[in-house]
Amino acid sequence: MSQEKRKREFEGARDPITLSVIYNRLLTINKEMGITMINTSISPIFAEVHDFSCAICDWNNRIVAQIDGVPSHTASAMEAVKAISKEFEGDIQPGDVFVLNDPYLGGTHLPDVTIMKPIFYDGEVQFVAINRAHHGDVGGIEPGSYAPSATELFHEGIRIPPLRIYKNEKPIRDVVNMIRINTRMPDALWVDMKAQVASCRVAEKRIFELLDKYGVEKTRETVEDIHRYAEHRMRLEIDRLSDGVYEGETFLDSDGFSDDPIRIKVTITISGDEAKVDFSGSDPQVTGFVNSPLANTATCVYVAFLTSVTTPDIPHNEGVYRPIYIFAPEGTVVNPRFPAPVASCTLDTACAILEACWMALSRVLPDRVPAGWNRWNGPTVTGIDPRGNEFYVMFGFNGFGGAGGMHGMDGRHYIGDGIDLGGLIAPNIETNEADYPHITEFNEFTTDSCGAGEFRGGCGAKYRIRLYDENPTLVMFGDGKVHPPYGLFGGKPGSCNLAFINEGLPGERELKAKESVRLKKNDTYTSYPSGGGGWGNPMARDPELVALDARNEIVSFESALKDYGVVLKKEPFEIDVEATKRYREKHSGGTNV
Amino acid sequence: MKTKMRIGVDIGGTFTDCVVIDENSVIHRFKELSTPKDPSVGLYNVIKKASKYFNKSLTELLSSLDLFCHGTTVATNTLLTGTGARTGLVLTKGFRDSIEMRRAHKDNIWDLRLPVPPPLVPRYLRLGVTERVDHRGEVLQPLDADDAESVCRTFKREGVEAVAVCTLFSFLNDSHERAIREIVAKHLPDAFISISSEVLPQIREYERQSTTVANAYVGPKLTVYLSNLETRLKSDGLSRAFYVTASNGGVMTVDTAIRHASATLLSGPAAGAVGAMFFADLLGQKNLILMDMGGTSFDVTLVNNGNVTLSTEGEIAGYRIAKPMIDINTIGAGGGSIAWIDRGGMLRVGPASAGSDPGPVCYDLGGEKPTVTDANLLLGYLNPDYFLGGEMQVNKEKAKKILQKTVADPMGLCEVEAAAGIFRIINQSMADATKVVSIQRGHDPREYALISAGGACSIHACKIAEEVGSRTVIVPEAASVFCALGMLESDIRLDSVKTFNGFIPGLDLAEFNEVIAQVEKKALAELLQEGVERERATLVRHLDIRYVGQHHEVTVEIPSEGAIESRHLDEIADAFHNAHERLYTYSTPENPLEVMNLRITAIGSVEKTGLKNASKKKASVEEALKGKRPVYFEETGGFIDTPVYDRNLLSEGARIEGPAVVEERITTVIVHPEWNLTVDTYGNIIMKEKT
Repeated sequence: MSQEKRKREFEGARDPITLSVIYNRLLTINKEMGITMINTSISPIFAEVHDFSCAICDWNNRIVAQIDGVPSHTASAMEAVKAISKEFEGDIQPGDVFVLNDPYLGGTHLPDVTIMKPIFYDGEVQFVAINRAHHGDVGGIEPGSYAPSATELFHEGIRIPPLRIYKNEKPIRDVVNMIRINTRMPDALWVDMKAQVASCRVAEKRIFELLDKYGVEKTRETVEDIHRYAEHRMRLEIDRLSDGVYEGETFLDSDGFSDDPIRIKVTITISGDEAKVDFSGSDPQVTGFVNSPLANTATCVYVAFLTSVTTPDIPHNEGVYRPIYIFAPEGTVVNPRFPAPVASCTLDTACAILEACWMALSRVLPDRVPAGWNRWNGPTVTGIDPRGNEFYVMFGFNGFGGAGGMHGMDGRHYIGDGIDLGGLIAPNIETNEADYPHITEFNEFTTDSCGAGEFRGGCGAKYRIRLYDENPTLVMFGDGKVHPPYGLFGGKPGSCNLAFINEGLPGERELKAKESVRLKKNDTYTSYPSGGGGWGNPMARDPELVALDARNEIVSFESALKDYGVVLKKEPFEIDVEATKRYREKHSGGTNV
Repeated sequence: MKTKMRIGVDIGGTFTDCVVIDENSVIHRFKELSTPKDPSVGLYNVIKKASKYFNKSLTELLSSLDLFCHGTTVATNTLLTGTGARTGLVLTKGFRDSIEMRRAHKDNIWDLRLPVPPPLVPRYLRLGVTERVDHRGEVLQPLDADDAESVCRTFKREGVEAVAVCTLFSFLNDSHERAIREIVAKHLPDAFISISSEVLPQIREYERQSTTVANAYVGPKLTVYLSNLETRLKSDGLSRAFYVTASNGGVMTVDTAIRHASATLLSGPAAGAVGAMFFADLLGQKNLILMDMGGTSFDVTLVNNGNVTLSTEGEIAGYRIAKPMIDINTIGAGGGSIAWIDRGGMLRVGPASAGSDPGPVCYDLGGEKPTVTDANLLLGYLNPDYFLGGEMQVNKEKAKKILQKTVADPMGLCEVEAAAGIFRIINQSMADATKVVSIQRGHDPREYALISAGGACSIHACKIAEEVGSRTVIVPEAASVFCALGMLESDIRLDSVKTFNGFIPGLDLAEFNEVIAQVEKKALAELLQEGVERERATLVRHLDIRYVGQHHEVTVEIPSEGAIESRHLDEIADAFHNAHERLYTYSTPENPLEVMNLRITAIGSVEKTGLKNASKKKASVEEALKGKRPVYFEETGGFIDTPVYDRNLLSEGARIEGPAVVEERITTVIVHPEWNLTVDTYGNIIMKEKT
C-alpha cells in the first residue's frame, strides 16, 4: 500500500488516537468517583469494604465506562438509567438527581440503592453518573435486610421505584423522609446517599472539563467509537473460540425453606463471532430469597465472559455485551416473576450462575477458566451496641474463602466469594472491634481447606468472634455448605462452608446456610469458609511446592501424601524423593516427579 | 560567619551524582557511574573526583565539610529485589496471616492472573503468642512468656536475623510488645528487632504490621551499609554531620535512619522532591509540580506553597508502608514504553517497557518493539546525530521500519501518524498522572508551574502542561543533579504519630494538651539527640480528622504554639471543612468531627547557603543556533523546518520563540509552537505559553 493511499484512508476514518485518549480519561474519572465514595461515606461497608460501584452512562443509557466496583453490579446499572429515562421522559432538568432500588424496575436487590445524576451540557443530557451502593439496612422483616423467611419482595424492605430525590441540586425533603423512615439506620443511610451524590458530582465536574476541551460533537462521536471498538473486540475474542455447544450445571444448596438443591443449567452456543447463552433447564423460581432477576443473571454471564474469554484490558461498556444473547425462561430461578424475594441473589445465586458459565466455558477455554471459588458464608449480625446504645449492622467481611486454581497459577487465599472476584476488602480486626461489640478470637488460614490440584485452590480462613451485646440477631444467607467449589481437569473440590454457634462449648449448634437466630451475650460465632477448587491432577504438582505448603501448614502432611503423593520427613524437613516417586507411580501411574 | 563546604551525594539507578557547595556558595557538580553491588564504591569514586578537582586530599576535603548528605536506595532495592534479612514475625495467637491476607484486596479484580508479591515473612516464621489487648487498651489476656520463649527457640533454629513484633491494639498498650522484645533480645542478641508500637503506633493492624515487617526486613542491610559508610567517612576525616534523606523529604542521622529503616524507603525519589522544594524557594515560585520521566516510569510530585505534600501511607514494591512519605505518583510511562495494538485494534502505549536492554528499536541492540523514544526520533524531536552528545549511534531507519510494520500498517496509518499517535497517548497518560496529584487532591494545576526533570521529559513537558492547564514549564539547569542539590538544603524532619480519639465539639482539652506535651517532649528529645541546637528546633502539629462515622481522615495543620484552647477548635473545624470541600466537593459544617491521630513533626532547620549562579560565558542567541531540522508538530499538521540551539551556549536573558529545539548532551527541550523560552539568572530554562 502506498503511503499516499494510507494517508487518504486515515483521513476518511475517525480519529483512533482521540478514542484512546477520551476512553482513558473516562476511566480516570470513574476511579475518582470511587475514591470520593470511600473517603466520605460512613458505613464500613463502603469506607472499608468497598461494596459499591460507579459507572458512567452516555445519553442513550449505555454504560460507557465502568472500572471501579464490585462485579455483581457490572451491567445492571444500565437498566437503572433506562428505567429513569422511561419514567421521566421529557421531565429531566439540570440539578436533578434520581434514585431507585426495586429489582424489578432496574435494581439488583433492595439494599443496593442506585443514585443517578444526569449531566447536562449545552442544554442536553450528555452523560449520566451512577453510583450503586449496598446499604446496611433498608427495612424489611430482618435487620440488615437479608431475610431467609421472606416469601415475597415486600418482606425484604422498602421498594423505591424510579424517583427524583434532588431538584435544583437540593434534596427533596419529603422524598428523603419517606425513604429514611423505612430503614433502621436513617442517619447512616442518608449520609451515605449524600456520599453517593458527591461521587456523581465529582464525575460531573470532570466531564464538564472533558466537554469543554473536545466539544459535544467530537465527544459523542468518540463515545460511539468506544462502543463499536468494544463490540468489535468481543466479537474477535468469541470468533477465536471453536464453534460448538458447551454445557455447565451447578446447584444451590437450598432456598432456605426446603432442603432441595436448586439447579442452574446453562448452554452456551458459540457460533462465529456471537454467543447464545441459554438457561433452559434451570429450576423454576423458589419460595426463598435466592431468585435472580434477569439483570442479575445477565451480569453473571458478562462476568464469566470478561474474566475468561477476554483479557482484562477490554473496556467494560455496552458494546461488549452486544454479541452475547441471553435467554432465561420466565418463572425460573434465573428470571423470576414479581414479587419473588431476591435478597441473596447477588451473592448465592450469582456465584452459582457464574460457576455454571465458567464450567461451560472451561470446555472451550481450559487454560483460561479457574476452578470454583468460595461461595458466601458470612452472616449479618445486628443488635444494640452497649457502648453507645445504638443499633448496628455488622456484615461478616472477615473469614473470607479462597479462589480456585487455574492453569499456571494457584488460587489466592482469603479472597472472598466468586462473584466479587476480590472486590470486597476485609476490614482490619482493630477497626472492626472498635466499630462493633465483639472480640475476635482468630482469623487465619484453615489448613487443607484448599482443593488439591496441580494448581491448588486458595485457603479459606477460620474465624471466630464472641459477641458482648445483650441479644444480638445473626442471619445466615450463604450457600455452598453442601456443594463445594468445583475442581477442574482432575483437580479436587475445595472444602464446604461450615459455621457454628458456640463451637466446643455447651449449647454448640451447627448453623444452616440460611437461617436467622437470636443469640445471648457472650455467644460465639465460628465459620470455616470454603477454600477454592484445584485445577489439574494433584499428583502432577511440583513436590517442592507441596513441601513448602506443608511447611507453611497450608496443607497437612497427610494431605501432602494422600492427595499429592509427596512423602515428607519432619526432622530435618525435606522431601523423600525416592518414596515420593514410588508413591506417585503406584497411585497415578504418573511420572511427574 | 562564612559557611563551610557541603556535599550532597545522591545514588541513582545509573549515575551517582554529587554536588559540592564551596565556601563562596558556588555549586560544583560531579558524576560517576553507580555501583549497585556496593553503592559506597560509586560514592567514594565521586567524592574522590571532587577532591581532585579542588586539589585536596580526600581527608582535607572531608574535614573541611560541615555537612554531608546522602540519599540512598539501599532499603528500596532490598525490598524490590527480595534480598532482605531472614525475618520472623511475632504476633497475637490466632492472627498469623494478616500480611498474606492483604485485607483480601486486589488491585484489578478483572485480572484473575494478577500476581501478588510474596509475603516478606513466610507463614512458618509468623508465630503467635498467647496475649490479648482490647480496643480500650485493656489487657484481656496476659502475655504467656513461655510462648514467646518457644517462638524464639524456633527463630534461632531457623536462623532468623531480624524480628518484627506486632500484636493487636499495641498502639494503645505496648506492654506486651516490650516484654516480647526483651525475650527476643535475650534469645537472639544479634537480631535486628522492630516493634510496631515504636515503628507506627497507629490503629489498623494490617498496615502497622506490614510496615513493621518491612522495617525489620530491610533494617539489617541498611544498618551495615550506613554504619560502615559513616565509620569510613569519619576515619577519612569527616568530623561534622552525616545525614540521610528520608521518605518524608527531611534528613536524619544514621542512628535514626537505622531504627526507622522503613522511613528511608523513598529516600531516593524524596530527594528529587526536596530538590523541587529548593527550587520553589530559589525561584520564588511556591507552587510547583515536579515531573521526572525516565526509561520506564514517570514520577510526579506536587509542591504546594513551598512544601511537598505528604501522604500518610502508600505502597512500595507492592508492600503497604504506612509511614509519612512524599506523595509521589508513579506510572509506567517512559522513553522505553512500548507501543502495541491490543486484541481489538486500539493503539496502546505502555506500561511494558523495553528498558535499557534491549531498549528502543533505534538503539539497535536487538529491540523489536516500537517505543516512545523511537516515535520521538521519527518526529524529529531527537537528533540521530547527537544522541548522548553523539556518543551513541542510533538506527532511525530500523525504528521507522518496525513502527511501520507493527503500528502503522495494522491501523492504516502512515508511520508519522503512528508516531504522532504514540506521542499523544503517552502525553495523555502523563497528564492524567499529573491530574491525580493535583486535581484529585484538590489543587488546581493552572496555579502551578511544571518542573521537567529526566532526559526525555522536556520533549513532552509543554504538551502535558497544555493538557493540565499549566502555563509555565521550568527545565532546571542542573536537572540531573537536582536531587543531590536539594538534600543539602533540607531540614531534619522527624515524624511522630499518636492515636488520640475525641470529638469536636467536646474535645477534652486538658487530656489533649497533655498528650501533645508528651509526644512533643519525646519528639524534641529525639531531635536534640540528632545534634540540633534548641533554637533551631520547631515543632509542627497536625491532626487526622473525619466526620463522625467516616473511616478515612483528612490531615489538617493545627496551631503549633502553646496549649490548644477552646477558641482554636473552631479554627481547626473550619480548616477541616474547607479541606473536605476542596477534596470531595462538599462539606457539612453541621456535623460533629472525630479526631483520630495526632501527628508531630520535629524540624531542625539546617542553615541555608544562599546559592550563587555559576558564571557563564555570555553568548547571543544567534551564536547558540546550531542549524535547522524538520520537526513534526500537531499544530502545524506536519514537519516544519525548526531551529536547533545549543543549550550550553544559551545564557541569562536569552529568548526563543517556539517552535524550536534546544539540545545538550543528555537533555532535549522541545519548545512547542504555542510556547516561548527564556533563560533565567541561574541558567534554568523557563517556558511559557504564548498569550
